[in-house]
Amino acid sequence: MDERSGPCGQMQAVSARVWPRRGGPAGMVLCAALIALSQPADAQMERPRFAFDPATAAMPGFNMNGAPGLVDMPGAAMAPDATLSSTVSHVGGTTRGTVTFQIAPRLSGSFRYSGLDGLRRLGGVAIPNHDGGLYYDRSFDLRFHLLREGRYRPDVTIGLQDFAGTSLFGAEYIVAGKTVMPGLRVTAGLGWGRLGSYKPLGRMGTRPTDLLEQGGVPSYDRWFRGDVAAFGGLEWAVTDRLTLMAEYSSDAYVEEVANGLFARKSPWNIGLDYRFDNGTRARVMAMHGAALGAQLSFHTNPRSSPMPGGTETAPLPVYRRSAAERVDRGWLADAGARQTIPARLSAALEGERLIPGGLELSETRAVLRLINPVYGPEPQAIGRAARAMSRTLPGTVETFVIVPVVRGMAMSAITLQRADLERLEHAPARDLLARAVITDAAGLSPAPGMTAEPPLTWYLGPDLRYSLFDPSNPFRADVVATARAMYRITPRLELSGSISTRVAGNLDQIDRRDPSGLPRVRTDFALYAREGDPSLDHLTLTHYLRPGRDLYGRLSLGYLEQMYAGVSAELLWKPVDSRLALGLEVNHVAQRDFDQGFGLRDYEITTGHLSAYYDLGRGYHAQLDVGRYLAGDVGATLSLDREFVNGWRLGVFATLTDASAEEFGEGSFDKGIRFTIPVGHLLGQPSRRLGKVTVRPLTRDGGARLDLRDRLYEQVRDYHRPELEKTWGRVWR
Amino acid sequence: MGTGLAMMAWRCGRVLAGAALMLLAACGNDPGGLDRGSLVANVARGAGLALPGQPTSAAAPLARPEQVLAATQAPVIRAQTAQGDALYLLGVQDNGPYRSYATATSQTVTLRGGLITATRGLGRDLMRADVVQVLDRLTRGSPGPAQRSMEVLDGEDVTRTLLFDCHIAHGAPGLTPRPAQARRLMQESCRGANDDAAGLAFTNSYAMGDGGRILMSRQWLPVSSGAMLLEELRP
Repeated sequence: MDERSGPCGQMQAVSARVWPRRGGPAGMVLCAALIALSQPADAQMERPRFAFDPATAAMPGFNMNGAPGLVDMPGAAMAPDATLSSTVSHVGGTTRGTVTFQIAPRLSGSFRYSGLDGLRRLGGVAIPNHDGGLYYDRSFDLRFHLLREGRYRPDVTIGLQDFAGTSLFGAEYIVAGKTVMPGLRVTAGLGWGRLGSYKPLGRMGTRPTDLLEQGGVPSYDRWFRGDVAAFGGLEWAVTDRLTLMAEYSSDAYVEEVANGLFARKSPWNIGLDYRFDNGTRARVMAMHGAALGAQLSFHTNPRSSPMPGGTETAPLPVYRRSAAERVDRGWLADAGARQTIPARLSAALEGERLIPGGLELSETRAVLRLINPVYGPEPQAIGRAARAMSRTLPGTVETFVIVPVVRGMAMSAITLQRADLERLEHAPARDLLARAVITDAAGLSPAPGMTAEPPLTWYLGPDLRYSLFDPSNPFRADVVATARAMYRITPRLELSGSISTRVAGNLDQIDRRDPSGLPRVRTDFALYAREGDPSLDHLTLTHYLRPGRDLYGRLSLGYLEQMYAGVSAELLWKPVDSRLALGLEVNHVAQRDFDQGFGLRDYEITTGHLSAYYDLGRGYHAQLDVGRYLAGDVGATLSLDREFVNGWRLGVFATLTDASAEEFGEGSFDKGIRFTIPVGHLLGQPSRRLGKVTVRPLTRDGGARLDLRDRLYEQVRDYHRPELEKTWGRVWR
Repeated sequence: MGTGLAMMAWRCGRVLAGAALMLLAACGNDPGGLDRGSLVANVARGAGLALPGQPTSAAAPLARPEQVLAATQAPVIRAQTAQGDALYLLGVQDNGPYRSYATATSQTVTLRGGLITATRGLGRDLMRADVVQVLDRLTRGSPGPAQRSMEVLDGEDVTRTLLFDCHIAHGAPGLTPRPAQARRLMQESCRGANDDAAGLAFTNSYAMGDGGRILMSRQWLPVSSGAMLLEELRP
């Protein structure tokens, strides 16, 4: 354990490929500020506002810890469902950056990254390998709303603060809040741990101080144990922008005072909060009679958008045929006219930024292979294609079958009656959904033809790689110059490669190398970062197939990812109407040389998983993967995501394997949080790109899987009924 | 403290700025690629910056109506937003009682009997509206209550229906039609009638010609540019 630079000194390294990525608190705050800035201040315009809009929502004030509350003490209110808040506060040598997500109407979770300047000793013991500079700590909170405020009833919330780490900020509380008259809110609560450290009223058992296992597991043995103290305060909304807070704090700041970060002269804190038009809040605080502090909170919501519905231009209007046109069979005999039809349809589709991949035309029926490179909400692509078909296909064609094709695989067949399109163009979108038939497309797709996708796509430009929460530097990044190309040998066979060289950055300066009780399948990331310049990021040959009804397949061969090369095979069962999918993945891989050239190291392993994916409804999704991981450990990963219709996803995952906590090392087991950010939604222009960010408290060797780019499930489900139904409101957009 | 995190923020900002600059220099042929030019312009606009070469307002003078009518045989309307931006739209497609009009830059407005039922490409588009009751009272010149609904997409891409209770009356506040257009002046005052429309209220004005046809109107829209003044130049 020689290189541990602190009990909380943990690290995360990610090399993601898609913009945007977010850094530590500074990066998160920066991005939140960008999102806030991109929301025009148009409060004077009369327009629909929905309850979640962060600019107008009933948002409680956020405290120094980035949770609803007073100045430093927690409160009982909850933010509107799905609110994503970033708070950065600075007081007396401590800077805290917190991201809080309102997971469900009654449940919120926070991730906090703190820097304490001058902390040398914890519990009177010198922190090992810490030079006395900035000491970084990470913590997670959960809050649950027990009671919602009523006429006489107060809000009551129970909270766990820093519930799984070394508990520098560890505390539990139960707090009540009530708005007693317009603009005046009273809060009172009981705290344990840190919040029970000043003038305790009593004691409930003893609070252990030893870590459970290797840390990183919920410290349930401490919860609501030890000294308990009371806290409380008032919030007074002077105007609708300005709020004054005063509180009595039950936090004695034991460690901060012992380390001389500041003197604590008084339990009383006061604060002044100002709300800007877009919902951003700025605060100043006077703390403990000894220090001044400042704070900024940005609020956004994945359900809100600076431009709902997007800014793209209008689709083509539906063409309504006359009675004569509907029975005019002249085109069948006219070979010249027949030949121009595909070209006219192609031109119309290309005007909509859609790619036609083949057309099968009979007297009354047209089947179109459709490639959608641009529109995030899939029904929008379907709707635009159907409109183009209505304007270009002969009048006798009554049935349109649109077959969305992804990487050569026909994902589904969406059958629309032309007369329904004509009749329902100005009706509610759900009326068309009721008439649409969505079926499996195995064997239904017409042969590729017309103007297919360009066989060679390429990109030359910058890319960003980053590492978060390094103990000596919370945000490291490299800007690299990347050349990527993908050549489509057949519609289902792709040759893809990417090389990069470092332009600037500091990823090569990671000097941490954790000991591991398992084969070093991921913990050598620092060596890969240092030696891989230039690097072959991947070089793969991938074949996609539809082996039968409800079945999808993938075979990949080559340099699959930064650290592994080999073969990977995947089979997915996903009926077109089903919310359940089952997958099987088997890989045989060898570890790559640190320089990320063509060489291999002598570690080989066969891994594989059985996966079940289930759309739970109401925006929740679960995934269970059972199998063998890269280090040869056997176990299961459970992932739970909150999914928004517009493509935002926030989730958590945890992996338990037969690797013991001792073998795994610091953190005890693999877990983390993950975000998917639809780039098009963020930028207000149509795009299918997704920014994916996975944040692990720690990169270790247990529970590690291959970082494959092309797993099937996310590609397949997009065009199946459950997903199409969610975004169907876009069909006429 | 402070210096450490400030340095970190500065470094992070520098890396992001470098990445943003290089993003502009990037090239490729991905058909799903982003429009980087409009991306930069949007961010700049959001931050309140004016980029060189970026028009700050629609300064180009609008062609005269006679010129537009001479150039096309299609139906023509003239639209003006609350900000004063004016443009011509040409009727491009009829579908039953609905007629869609398009601008030269592929934005559309759909009218039913002169009442706006949909927009596309304006930002915060009106996806659909049910105006049957309002239209019936207007064409009959019959004051009284009417209901209308408007459908919009919210930020999550979920369809929201705004319901309004309206009252049709005589008189057209804020509208100055030419005498020939003003055989009958009507107004429609609406108030949000469900949760999604809570707090919304507007008054539309209509100048109608012979036979109850709407020739000029000022209609509220949930779109970014707000209310729109419409004048029919050629039916």
